[in-house]
Amino acid sequence: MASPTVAELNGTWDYATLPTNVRLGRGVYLERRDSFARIRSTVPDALVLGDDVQVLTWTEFSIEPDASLVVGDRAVLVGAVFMCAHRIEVGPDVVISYGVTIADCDFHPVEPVARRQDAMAVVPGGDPSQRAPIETAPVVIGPGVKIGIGAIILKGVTIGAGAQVAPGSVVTRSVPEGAIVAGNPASPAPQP
Amino acid sequence: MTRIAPAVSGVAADGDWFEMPVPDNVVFGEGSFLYSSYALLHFRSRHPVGLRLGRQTGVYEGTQFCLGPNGQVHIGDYCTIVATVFSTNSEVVLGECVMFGYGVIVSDDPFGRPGAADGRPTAPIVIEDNVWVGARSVLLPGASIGRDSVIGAGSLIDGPVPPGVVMAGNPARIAARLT
Repeated sequence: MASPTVAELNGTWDYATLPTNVRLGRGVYLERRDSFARIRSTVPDALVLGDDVQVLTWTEFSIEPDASLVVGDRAVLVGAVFMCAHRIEVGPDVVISYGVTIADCDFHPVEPVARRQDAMAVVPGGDPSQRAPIETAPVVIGPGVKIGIGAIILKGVTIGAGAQVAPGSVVTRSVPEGAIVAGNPASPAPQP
Repeated sequence: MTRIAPAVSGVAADGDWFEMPVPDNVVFGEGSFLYSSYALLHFRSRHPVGLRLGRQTGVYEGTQFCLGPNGQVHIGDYCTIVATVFSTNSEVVLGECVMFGYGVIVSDDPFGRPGAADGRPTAPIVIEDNVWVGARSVLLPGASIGRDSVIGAGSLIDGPVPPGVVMAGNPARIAARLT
C-alpha cells in the first residue's frame, strides 16, 4: 500500500470520499483516512458520527458486513479500535483515550472442535462458509463516559452514563451509571 | 518510508515523507534520530525547549509527541523509544540509556488525549538512567522510576518505583530485585 499523503493524516482529506453508508454530522474532524479502511458493512447506516465528533489518528473502525456503529455528538475518539460484528453505540460527550479496544464479539468459538473448524475456515484458501456461527452482544457506552488508556471493553457490556473506566481495565460486565471501575476483570474501584 | 537522519530543528528534513517543518523548540543532540516529523503531528508546546533528544538517541516509527502549550519532554543520551505516545501538558524527563518498548503511553491524564490545552499542571514523570519499560505499559503522573529498574509489559505505573527492581502488573508490584 502506498504511503499516506500528509492530507490523509492531518484531517484535511476529502471526507466525501468515504462510503455512502458512513454518515457524518456537522463539524466532524476525521484525522487519518485509513481509520475508515476496514468498514466492510453494507447496511445503510454502517457508521454514523454525530456533530463535532473527533476521530484521531490511532482509531480504527473494523465493521463486519451486517454491523453498524453509532457515535454521539461531541465524542472524542483518540485511540479506539472498534471490532464491530453487530452493534456498538457510543453516547454523546464520551472520551475514549489512547490504546482502547472495544469488541461486541469474541470472533471465534471457545469450544475446541468448533474453533479448529473456524481456524481452518479463516486461513488463506479456507472456505469462509464453514465459519462457526459467532455470538455477538451489543456494546453500549453511555453519555459522558470516560474510558482510560489501554482499557478493553468486551461484548455485551453497557457502561452507564458518566461512568469512568480506569486505565488498563478489562471490562467484562456492565458498569452502573456514575461508577468507577478498574482492574482485570474490572470491578468497582475505591472512590477517591 | 524515508526517515530523518540526522534530525535538524527548524527545517523540513530532506526526504521526510511528512512535509512538516520541525518546530524550533525541538532540539536534537548530535547523532540523534527521529523517524519523521509526523511524530510532531500533535506537538503544540510553546515551551522554549518543548522536546529535547539527547546524543545518539533514536525515536522510531509510531512515536507521537502530543504536547500541550506547557508540555516538555526531555530525553537523555543513548535512549531508544519505539512506538510510544507522550501526551502531556506538563513535564516528562528521561535519563540516559532508557529503552521504551512498543506501545508505551506516557500521559498526564488517565483519560489523556492530544489537544487538551487546558490541562492543569500535573506531577512530572521522571524516568532515571538505564530504565527499560516493557511494551504497552502506561506511565501516569507521579510515575518516578529509579535507575536500572525494569517495568514489565502492560504495567500501569502512577507512583514511585525504587531503583534496581522489576515492577509489573496493574496495579504494579515488585516482582524481583536486580541489585
